[in-house]
Amino acid sequence: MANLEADLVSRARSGDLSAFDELVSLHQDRVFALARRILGNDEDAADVQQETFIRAWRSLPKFRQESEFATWLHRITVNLCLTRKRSKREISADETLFVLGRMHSAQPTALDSLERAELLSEIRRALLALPVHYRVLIVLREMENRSFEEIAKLLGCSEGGARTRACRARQMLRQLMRPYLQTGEELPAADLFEQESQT
Amino acid sequence: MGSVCNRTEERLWEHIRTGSDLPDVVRSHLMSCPRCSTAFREAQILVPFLQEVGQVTSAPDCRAAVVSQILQMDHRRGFLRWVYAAVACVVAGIVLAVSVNESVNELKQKRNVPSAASTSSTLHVGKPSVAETKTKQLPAAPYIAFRSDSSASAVREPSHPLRKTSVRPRKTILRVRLPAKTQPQLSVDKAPPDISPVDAAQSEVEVQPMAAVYATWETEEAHEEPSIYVYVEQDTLTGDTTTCYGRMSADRIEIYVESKPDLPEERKTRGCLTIGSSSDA
Ligand SMILES: [Zn+2]
Repeated sequence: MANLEADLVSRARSGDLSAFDELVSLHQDRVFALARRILGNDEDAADVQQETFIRAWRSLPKFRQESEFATWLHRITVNLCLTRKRSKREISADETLFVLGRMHSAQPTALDSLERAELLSEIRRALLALPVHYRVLIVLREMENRSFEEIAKLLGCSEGGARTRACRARQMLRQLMRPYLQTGEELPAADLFEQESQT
Repeated sequence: MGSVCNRTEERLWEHIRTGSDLPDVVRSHLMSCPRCSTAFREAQILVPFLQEVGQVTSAPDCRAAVVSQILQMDHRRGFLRWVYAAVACVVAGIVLAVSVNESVNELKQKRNVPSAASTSSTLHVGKPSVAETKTKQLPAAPYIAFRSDSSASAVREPSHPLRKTSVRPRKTILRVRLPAKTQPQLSVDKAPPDISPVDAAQSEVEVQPMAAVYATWETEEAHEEPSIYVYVEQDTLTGDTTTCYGRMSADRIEIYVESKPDLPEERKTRGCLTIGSSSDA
């Protein structure tokens, strides 16, 4: 498999489009899934999926076969997702007047009183509310179960940096989901803000 | 949360996700740290749902689209190569013609000593005219403003015995005022909780971020993501209901903050803040 892929990559590098077509076929599902998880909708994910391969084709001469082709490809995908303008599907900013938030002291909501589907949709919403450079950590680590070594490669940062951001992302997500996660026990004060004040 | 808690949380999530063993040191920390035990309970609900949210069942087949775009690109590149070649030929032709013409003129001038009249015909008398250089007018950095009319005055911080903080806008302090290279981009979002209150150290009440607006822009010099944001937060201690509206147009975003109408006047909060691109600053 690895040999076959290496062969396809070197043929594609020398301009063989049919070899590249086979590479697209091998990797397109993974690329789409990654983009879909980060961006949260099919349409944007499909755009990124296509753009990833176009960029890959253009950059193939620069690809040194020291790193894995999939990692290199996913790095392009992640970059495209991170630099993508917020789409209108992601936020309804096209409406002239819209409600940003309606806040009151959140009443604890028991989990069992919530429909499963509702909780799922709240999680989706909370994920989209995370800034994308944090959301990507939840996707890579918690959904795709990737190692920090790989995440660091994909994001072009240190392993320590990736860990710190993942930690922050988890805390932000818990904070956003807190009204739905309360299990009856007393909760500590907003620890995120305490943490902020210490740094 | 200290680094031990952070590390613990990482292990806890991994444990729930993959079923990995929890080392004794993590277990004993969990027993003694109320924060981590809360985090653990929350993660037990959250993590399995995250796995479910992350499921992607079908992906479109993009091969045909990719190949056709690549072929188009190559075709265009091939065509452009012809155009460049043609342009290069024309330019070379012109250069050649001019240089041949000049050498012919030189030869003619060597043969006939130039008269004053013929020289003056090629020289302009008076000040040399220099083509005016166009200075590019760069848009300024985006701005943040509070509207000060009675219907939407600057957001007040009403006094309340329980209240140390209230609904209030915050903004980043711009360390450098960098002129924008292109029109600033504005975006609006529910406030992500990583935007911390400026005086978090003094804040003893639980605050919730409500809305945030961002402006980002490109600068002439390389700079680490120039951006400013404004956000609105509310403390949740009093339970006062507040709504945050956003209005967005091409060059500005306004956030209106409004307390529930039946609140006593002294506890009402009402205001509007604007973040705009520089064009109408
Ligand atoms: Zn702890």
